[in-house]
Amino acid sequence: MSKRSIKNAPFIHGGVGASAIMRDVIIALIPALIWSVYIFGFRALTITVLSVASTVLTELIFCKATKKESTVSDLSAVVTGLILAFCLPVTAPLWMPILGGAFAIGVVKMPFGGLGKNFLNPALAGKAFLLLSFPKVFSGYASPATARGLSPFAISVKAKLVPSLLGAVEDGVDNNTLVDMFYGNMAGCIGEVSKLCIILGLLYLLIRRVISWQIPVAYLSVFFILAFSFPRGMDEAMNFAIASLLCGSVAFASVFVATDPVTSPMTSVGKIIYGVLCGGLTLLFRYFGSAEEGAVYAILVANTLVFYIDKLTCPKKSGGVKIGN
Amino acid sequence: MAYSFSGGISLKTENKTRALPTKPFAEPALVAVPLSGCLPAVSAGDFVDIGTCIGFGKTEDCPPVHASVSGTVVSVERRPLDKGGEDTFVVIKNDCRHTVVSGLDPISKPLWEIKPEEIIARARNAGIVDAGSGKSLASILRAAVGKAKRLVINCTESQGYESISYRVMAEQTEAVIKGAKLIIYALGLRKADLVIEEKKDKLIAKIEEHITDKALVDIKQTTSKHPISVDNRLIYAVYGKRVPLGGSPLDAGYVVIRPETAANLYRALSTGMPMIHKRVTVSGDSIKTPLNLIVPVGTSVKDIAELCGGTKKRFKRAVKGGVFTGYAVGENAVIEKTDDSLLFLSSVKAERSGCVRCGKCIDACPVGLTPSLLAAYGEKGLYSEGLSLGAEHCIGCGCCAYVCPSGIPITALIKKTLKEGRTEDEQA
Repeated sequence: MSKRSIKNAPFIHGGVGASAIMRDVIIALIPALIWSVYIFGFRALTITVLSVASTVLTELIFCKATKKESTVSDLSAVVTGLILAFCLPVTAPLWMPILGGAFAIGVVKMPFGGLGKNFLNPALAGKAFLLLSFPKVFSGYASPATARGLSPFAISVKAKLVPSLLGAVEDGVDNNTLVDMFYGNMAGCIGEVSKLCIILGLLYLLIRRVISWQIPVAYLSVFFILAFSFPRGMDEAMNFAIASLLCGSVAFASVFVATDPVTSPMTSVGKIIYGVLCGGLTLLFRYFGSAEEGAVYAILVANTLVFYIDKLTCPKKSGGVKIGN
Repeated sequence: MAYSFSGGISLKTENKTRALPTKPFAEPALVAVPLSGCLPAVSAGDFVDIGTCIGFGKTEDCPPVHASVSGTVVSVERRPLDKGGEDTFVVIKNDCRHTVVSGLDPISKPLWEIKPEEIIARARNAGIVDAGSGKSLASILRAAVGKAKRLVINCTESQGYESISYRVMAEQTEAVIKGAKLIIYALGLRKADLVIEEKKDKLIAKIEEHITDKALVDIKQTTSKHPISVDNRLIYAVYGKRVPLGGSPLDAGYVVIRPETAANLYRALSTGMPMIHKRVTVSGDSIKTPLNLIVPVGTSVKDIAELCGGTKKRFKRAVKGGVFTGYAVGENAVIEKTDDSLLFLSSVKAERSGCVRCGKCIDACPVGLTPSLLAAYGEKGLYSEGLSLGAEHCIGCGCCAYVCPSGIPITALIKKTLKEGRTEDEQA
C-alpha cells in the first residue's frame, strides 16, 4: 500500500488507516462466515472464496491495465467480495460469485476511480446485477439440511428449493420459527441468515468505532415502526414486525452495506436521514416491488441521493449550523 | 464536571515529561538572540552583561530585548527564520561569568502604591512576551484596559508533549498567583481563573493551598482533549462565548495568558530582571533524554540536543510549536520567547489512499467544518469554493489530518486554500 511521509503539521498521525478499517470489517464478518459454513456446509465457503478471489483479481487486473499502483492492499476488495458472497444463496452456480465480483469491481468501483469514488456500493450493485440477470437463482433457497448435502465443488447443483420466509411472515410465524430466524437456522442467503452473528459484527464495529450508530439504528427502527404500523397478512402487528426484521437481508444490509462510508453521508444528521430513507424504501420495495427483497434496491436508490443529503447537511458558512470559533 | 467542547481528539499516550522537574541550562557557548523587529542597540565587539538591553523597540507594542548571557557580541546579523521571513539576531559569545547588568530596579513599595500604568510599563521594559498568543504582555495589557472582564491563565497543554505550564504551576505556584493578581490590579478586574486540565489532582491540590481568596483567583477544570489549549477553544469551552472570526479572546472580554508569563511579570517587578530565560519542554520520540529546561533565550537547537544526550538514529526533524500545530526547524534555529517546546521527531508515515468519505474529520473538527471537502477543494485548486465553506474558520489544530484513515494532509491543504484564496481575492 502506498504510504505518505508526513512533511507538514500535524507531525503525528492516529495510525488508523483505510486498511485497518477494512480489516475490522472483515473481522466483523467472520462470525457470519463461520455460521454459514456450519449451517449450509462447505459450499458456502467455496462461494465466498471464489467471490473474494474474483473481486481481488479484478482489482489487480484493472490496476495493471490502467497502469495504476495496485490498491488491493487496502483490503476493500476483500470486503466487497465477502459481502457479495454473503448475499448469494448457497445453491448459486459457482460462476455466479465470479461474475458478480468482476461486475462489482470492474464496472461499479474501479471505473469511477476506485475506493472512495464509486457512488454505488459495489457488492450491492453486483448483487442487483445478478438478481436482474438470473432471477431464477434467487427464486428459492435450499433448507439447511438440503444445503449440507450439496457438493462444494459442483459448478451447478440441483436441490429442492423452498420459498424464502418473506412470504411466510404474512401468514404468521410461531415463536419457535422466530427463534430459529434469530439464530439463523433457516433457508436464505449465505451470510444473512444469522441475526445473532450480525449483532456480534455490529457490536464489534461500534466498539472499534468503524461505523457510527446512526445508520443501523435509524434504518432498523424506521423499518420496524413502519412494519408495525402497516402490517400485512393476518398475523398480529408486533409479531409481523419482528418477523419482517428477522427475515430477508434487511438486518445484514443495515449493518454491513448501508454503513459503507463511501456510499453513505458524512455528517451525523445526514446519516440519520439516510438511515430513515433506507428503512422506508426497504419496506416500500418489499410491499410494492416485483422482487421479494427490498433492501438491495432501497440502499442503491439511497446511494444515489447521498450527494444531495451531504449537500443539505454539510455545515456551511451561511447556514450557520455550528461553524465558529 | 470538566468543561469540554465537541470534536477534538483524546490522545492515548501519556505525557511523560510532566513528572520531570525543570533544570536550568545556563552554559551555551553561543547564543543568537532574535530581536523580533527591534533595532539593535549593540554592535560586534561590545561587551554585554546578563540583562543588558541589546534591542530597542521602535513602538510601544514592541518591547526591548535583553542579553541572556554575559560575554562579547560576535556579530549582529540577518538570518532567515524557519517559519518564514527573516529577523535580526545578536550573536553573543558566552564568557560564563554570569555578570549581571547593574541598575536593575526591583519594586519594593507595597502594591497599592504602584500605579497600574507602571505595571504595564514595567512589563514592556522587561520584554515579557506571552508564548500562547506570541504577543508582548504590555501590548496585551494595554489593549485590554477597560475592555476586559476577566483574566484567564491558560495552563492547558493538549498537544501531548508540552509540560512547561504544568511545571510552572508546580514549581512557581506563588509567583503565578502573584503575577495574576498584579494583572488584575493593573486592569481593574475582579477575578482571574486558572484553567487546568482535569485529573491533575495533585497539582490542583497544591495550587489550592496557595490560593487565599477564591473570589479573586479560582481554578477551572477542562477536558484534556486537543485542541483545548488553543485560547479561543478554551474560552468557548469554559465560558460558552464565541470569539468573532479573526478576533482574539479579548473581543469576548477575556485576557488570556500563559502561567509562565504571569510568573515572569512577578519576577520582573520583584527582582527587576527582564525576561531572558525561556522554559521549554525538550521531548519527542527521537531524543535520548527528554527534559524540561530553562534556557537562555537564543540557545540553539543543536546545543539543546547535545544537552539531552543527543538524538536517536531514527531522528528526522526538529519541530517547534507542538507536534500538531508546529513547524520544522533546522539545527541552527534558536529558542525564542514564544517557544514552549522543542520536539525531536522521527519520520512519521501515514497510509495514503483516496478519501473514503468516512466523516471522521468532520467528527474531529472542533470548529464544525467539513475538512474532507475543504481538502478536496484545496487539492483541485478551487480556493474560493473552499473559502465559501468556511475555510477561514480553520484554527489549524491538525485533528482532521490526525484521524484521516486515508492519510490526506487535510490541514496543510486547508492552509494552502487560505493562502492561495486570499491572494486570489486580492488580485480580483
